[in-house]
Amino acid sequence: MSKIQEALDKIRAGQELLPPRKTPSPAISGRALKANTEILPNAGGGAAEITLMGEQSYRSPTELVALRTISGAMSDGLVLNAIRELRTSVLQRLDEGKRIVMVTSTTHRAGNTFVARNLAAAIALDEGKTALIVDCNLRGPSASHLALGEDRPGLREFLKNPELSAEDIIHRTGIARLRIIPAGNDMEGMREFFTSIRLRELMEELEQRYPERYIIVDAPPIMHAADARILADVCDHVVLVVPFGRTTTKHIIQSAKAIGKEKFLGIVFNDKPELPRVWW
Amino acid sequence: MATPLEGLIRFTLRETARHRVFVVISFVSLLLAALYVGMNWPKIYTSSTSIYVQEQNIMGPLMQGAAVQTEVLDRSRIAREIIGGRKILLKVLEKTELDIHAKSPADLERMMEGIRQRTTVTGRPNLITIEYRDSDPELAYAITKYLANFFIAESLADKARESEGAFEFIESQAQAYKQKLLQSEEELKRFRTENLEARPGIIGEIGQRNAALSAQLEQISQDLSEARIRRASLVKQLSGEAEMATNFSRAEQDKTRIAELQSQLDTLRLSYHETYPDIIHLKAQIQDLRAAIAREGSTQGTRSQGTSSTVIDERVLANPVYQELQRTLYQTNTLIETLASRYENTKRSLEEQMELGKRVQDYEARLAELTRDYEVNREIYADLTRRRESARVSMNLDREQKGLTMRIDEPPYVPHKPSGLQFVHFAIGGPILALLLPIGVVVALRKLDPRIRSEERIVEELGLPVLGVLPHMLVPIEGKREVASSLLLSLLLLGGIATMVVVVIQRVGGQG
Repeated sequence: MSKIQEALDKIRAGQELLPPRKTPSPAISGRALKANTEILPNAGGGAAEITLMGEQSYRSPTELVALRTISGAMSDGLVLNAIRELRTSVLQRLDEGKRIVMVTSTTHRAGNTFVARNLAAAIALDEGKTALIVDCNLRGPSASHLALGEDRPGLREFLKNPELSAEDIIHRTGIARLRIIPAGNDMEGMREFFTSIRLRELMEELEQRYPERYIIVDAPPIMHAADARILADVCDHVVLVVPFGRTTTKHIIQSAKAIGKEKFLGIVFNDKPELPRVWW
Repeated sequence: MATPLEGLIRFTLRETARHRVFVVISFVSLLLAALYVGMNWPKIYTSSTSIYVQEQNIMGPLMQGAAVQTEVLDRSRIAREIIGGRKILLKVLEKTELDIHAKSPADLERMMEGIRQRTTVTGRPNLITIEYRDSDPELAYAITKYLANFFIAESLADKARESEGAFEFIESQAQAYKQKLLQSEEELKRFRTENLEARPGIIGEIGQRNAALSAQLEQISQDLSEARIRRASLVKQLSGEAEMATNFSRAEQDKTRIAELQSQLDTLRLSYHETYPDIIHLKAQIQDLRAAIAREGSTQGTRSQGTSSTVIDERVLANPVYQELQRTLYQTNTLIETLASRYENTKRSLEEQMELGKRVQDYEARLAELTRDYEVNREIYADLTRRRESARVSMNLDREQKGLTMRIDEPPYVPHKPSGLQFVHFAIGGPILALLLPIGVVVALRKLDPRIRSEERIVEELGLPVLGVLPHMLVPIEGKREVASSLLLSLLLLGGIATMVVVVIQRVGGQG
């Protein structure tokens, strides 16, 4: 099932890369292979790097579903398809060479972490591309759960500690071709992070690292935090998540205005209810 | 793009599914509530009767043309008022022996109010329908019957009263006019007696007489002026003539003159009375002449005694032309005096006639007024008398209840099936209502909510691009919860429907 899915993805991407690898048995969990992940090198560049990054998925589809993250092998085709369609339309709209996409929302708990995570996961389904999630939701870093291992240094540590390099904060997720920069653990003095030059430098570095790497920034709601607007400056594009039945048109217009015409990529209408499906 | 209806259906389904807990619980509760209400709904039996009425307002034809009729009131409203009246309701309570249960006058009032509320009176032209609802079919029938009967009796009595009133009214009017007529007749009579000279046609006579008198006066005045002219010319001529041609004895002359006057007098006497002015005048002249002769005689005596030498010869003749002129002058003088006196007389009688004419005019005006009054009163009286007789007939008809056609068109019946809402209505309507109401509430609330629930609105209203629409992604625990809640809701739904089916079958089976 997942092979067919991957093959299809490949054809859709129009890229013939390396032959598909052997899929791991679902029994092997991400946690079990934690030691392995650390041995794998983080540095490098180009297609070879992607190949290196194209490690096996260590997380089973069931585990990923529990994390509300898609996988090529998941059984809920409706969600998978919707997210892949979203990915396609986002990628189509990106300007040449601009691959930093910020995901923000009109309101709290609109599911923008869900959108960011799955958009990244969907991009990573393509063997020719890699994705990196940057969890900028410093006050509610829910995307960071995807990182393997605990207490990993993240964005906070990076912004505070000039000795840390980008490599130190990029972590594996257990999903092939998907990396994450978690929000970090250092909870002290967490104001005005995003104004620092270091963030801009980080973004530039991340972008230049791999030619086919897409950086998905998970940001707080645009209208509720000044952080989001500052973040929008360092990103190339902004996707606005509108939750079903919780936002008025006025609110959407305000949010779109706050983002600005140039960077505004489009709206993701999230959490739209379907007729009940019995899901086991 | 979906059509608006499709959109609405999809919207409704989606919202219903989203709020399925509310919808299912509301549905089951409403269903059971409808069942409960339906089982305890009181049975209402309705009995009805219709009364055919061919009623005409008695005053209408009677007073047609004579007086303006007041507007006839809506029949069904009158019927409602009569039926809702205490009089009829008390009788009905008495007949149905319901009044035995009344412990106080207030109870009685409440009972009456109850009947009033359960009674419906509808009216079409000529048809009044009385409907009464009660939980007891026998009672419904009885009360309907009594209401109809008492209504008819009351209407008939009313009508009799009405025609009696009409008769009395006309009678009183006739009496009043009779009085007026007698009065004006009396007035006319008195006026005529007081003004006897004023007989009919007198105006014409006076006119003719006046015309004649005026002509006469004109003639006399003309004659008079002619005579005066003549006298003036005679006097002129006389002054130019010698008095004496031959000295006639003056007495002789006077005698001749008397003879002439006498003959004139005799002629006049043939056609006039002694009082005629000419005659009077002639007589006076003759008298004058005789007196002159007598005077002459005495002077001649004295003259012959004293100065006889101065006496001229008796035979000397006076101048005949002079004589003639003198005579004519006398005649003319006489004529002038006669005419003047006639002129005065005629003028006076003309004035009298004028005066009379004026009086007669006033009299005529007053007479016309009195006659008019009399005529009008007589006409109205005659009319009223005629109407009074018709009213009397109508009244007698109503008294014997032959003038009114009011009959029960459709007699009341004992209802064997309850009317109004029944259990079956609740059994059918309950589920429909129970289904539609919560869904309606959900849809209405969602429709009123300005928050965005479809990506189409974002595109259409805001013109912003929509990159994707993501459904909710269920994690396993949510899935399990959803299954559990679905199961629970299904059970609830099935339980509600099963209860309903069982109750309906029992109820219908029990009845059948």
